[in-house]
Amino acid sequence: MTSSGEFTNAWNALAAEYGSLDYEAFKAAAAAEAGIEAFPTTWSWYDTFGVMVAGSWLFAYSYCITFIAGEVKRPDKTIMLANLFAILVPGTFMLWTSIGLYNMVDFQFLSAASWVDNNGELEGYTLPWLPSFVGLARVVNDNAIVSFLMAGSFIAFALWWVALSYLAFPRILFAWGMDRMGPKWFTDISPRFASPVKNHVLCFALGEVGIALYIFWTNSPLAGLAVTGLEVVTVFGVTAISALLFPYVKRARGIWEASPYRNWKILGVPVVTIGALVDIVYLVILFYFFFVMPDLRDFTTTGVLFFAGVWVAGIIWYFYWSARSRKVGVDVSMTYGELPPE
Amino acid sequence: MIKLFFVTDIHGSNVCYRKFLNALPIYGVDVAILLGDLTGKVLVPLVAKGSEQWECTLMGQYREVNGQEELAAIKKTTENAGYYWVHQTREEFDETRADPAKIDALFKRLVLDRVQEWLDLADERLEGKPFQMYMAPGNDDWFVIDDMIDAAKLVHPCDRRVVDLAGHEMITSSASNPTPWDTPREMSEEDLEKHLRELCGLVKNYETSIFNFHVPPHGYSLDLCPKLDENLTMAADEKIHAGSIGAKKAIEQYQPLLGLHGHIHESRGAQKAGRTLLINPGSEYSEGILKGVIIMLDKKKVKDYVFTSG
Repeated sequence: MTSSGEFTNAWNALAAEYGSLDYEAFKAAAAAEAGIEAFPTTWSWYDTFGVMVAGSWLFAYSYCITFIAGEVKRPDKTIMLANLFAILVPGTFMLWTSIGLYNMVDFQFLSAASWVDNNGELEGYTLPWLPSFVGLARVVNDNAIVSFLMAGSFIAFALWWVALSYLAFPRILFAWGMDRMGPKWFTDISPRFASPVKNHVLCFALGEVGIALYIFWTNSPLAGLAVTGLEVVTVFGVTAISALLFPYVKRARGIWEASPYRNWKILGVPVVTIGALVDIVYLVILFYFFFVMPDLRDFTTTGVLFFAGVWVAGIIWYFYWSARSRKVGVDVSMTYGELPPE
Repeated sequence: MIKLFFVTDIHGSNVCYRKFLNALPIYGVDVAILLGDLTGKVLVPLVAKGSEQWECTLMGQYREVNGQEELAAIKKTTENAGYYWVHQTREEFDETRADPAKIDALFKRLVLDRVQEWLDLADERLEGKPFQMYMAPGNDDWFVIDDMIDAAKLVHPCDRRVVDLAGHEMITSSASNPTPWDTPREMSEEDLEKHLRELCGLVKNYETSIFNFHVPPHGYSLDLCPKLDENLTMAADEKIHAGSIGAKKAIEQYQPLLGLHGHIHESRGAQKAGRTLLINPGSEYSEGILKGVIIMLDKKKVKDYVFTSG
């Protein structure tokens, strides 16, 4: 664990080497550029909850598990363990990082580093990397191999995320096609590649359009979080509410009773309900900060319009395909409807 | 236009069968086809422990049952999963367990009782209704079931014959190629191909025909299942085509309008084989979910189809 003295000395040595701002000058320059008289000097609940927005990416592994899902051996055990470690391992590293940062730097420096990392530049700052968490770790560790691995992991995550999205979204379109909530060609599977190739091409094209909009239309590096905000409500929020109510809904009772985890309870409350409650609290905090954080406020109006647009488009899409299917004699509202079991 | 509702592989699940019958007016179908496998695989003895107390092992978990209410719930869960419960004293349980022949005889009796209950229920529910219901076994089902279906009043048998569905000739085969479980109706690929070709010979107009083969054709996306090792444990990372080469050859040669298949529960899907639309609705009987497919058939083409999950 590096002390604050060791960090400051290392930073100043690198600043001297690269002609960059030393520790104190860096803080002052960032504060001046940010238009803030003084960055915070201690912690606050507002900042603690606010960091959860970015910190939510630590749980990307759980998100990925939902796409990989049953394609593993013994999913009844593997998925449970995977979800546990998907929280424990990043959580442990996050705790270690937090304790390390707490010992190494003061709050003003951390705020300055965050501001520069998000904005990409600061006059006088000439180190050849941004002061992200990886960049700060590099300051105290100049081992070439470790530095390469740190930077490489950052790049690898980005590439992996693209690959995971390509895994997931064409399959989502395939499911829409199967449910007649989209054209039949959504269900075409290439015999050669055993994959929905047409969906892959469509998702690639749409992805390129999305990237173009992000680069050329938005002027904030945090604008991409608008998508996360949409997911918070549309995907995670709906799922959390479903999980909360699942053990208590009469029409799902048969499925609940068949679960081998139905007896997992704490103080008589099913664990899935407790997990859902924690999740909902967390999601409410995330969503609140999408509206109140200054850095995100710039595109809040745009973001809300974007949310509304996606929801309206989805509703129109649903009713269009429902009507189209009804025309050929299929009532899609019944295809997944409850059938009387007696 | 004719509207078909096709379901397969409910493996003794009472709730799935009842949902199947109830689905007919809800989905507004003309013809319902229930293909095998019809029978379940597990016997659950409810062993008496004392007054109003029983014990059993269900889905790998030991359970103690206290009182009539819990007993009724356990029985329902058992039936809905496609299992068969039986009341036994401790002595009866020990005696039966020690004698494989007794287990087989007991199991067979319970299986056939449920099939008969189903046929009687269908006769009751279909009386005066406009739906036509066809039923055929699958490779897991004993041959004695054929006579039971033949004797039903309103359920039409269709295995190993050609039937007419509003101008569409349908041939049905409950047989399959070899499986690791030595099931009653499996046969070698050579025999299966011969059997299927004989059936195909009964059809006059292939262009509008329906091939209702329990086993899907080999090599399409409807017959993919996890590879099994020597202990019959499923591999997570390797799938194989388990369908029949004979079925593939018959379909590719005769090119019927529609191919309806089951057998591989995981391979729910639809795929074209030339002009033939092949469909496997899959099965989730053990969860009490009725997987099916509604198909709208015009005279010479499949107008549309949609998978259902009730």
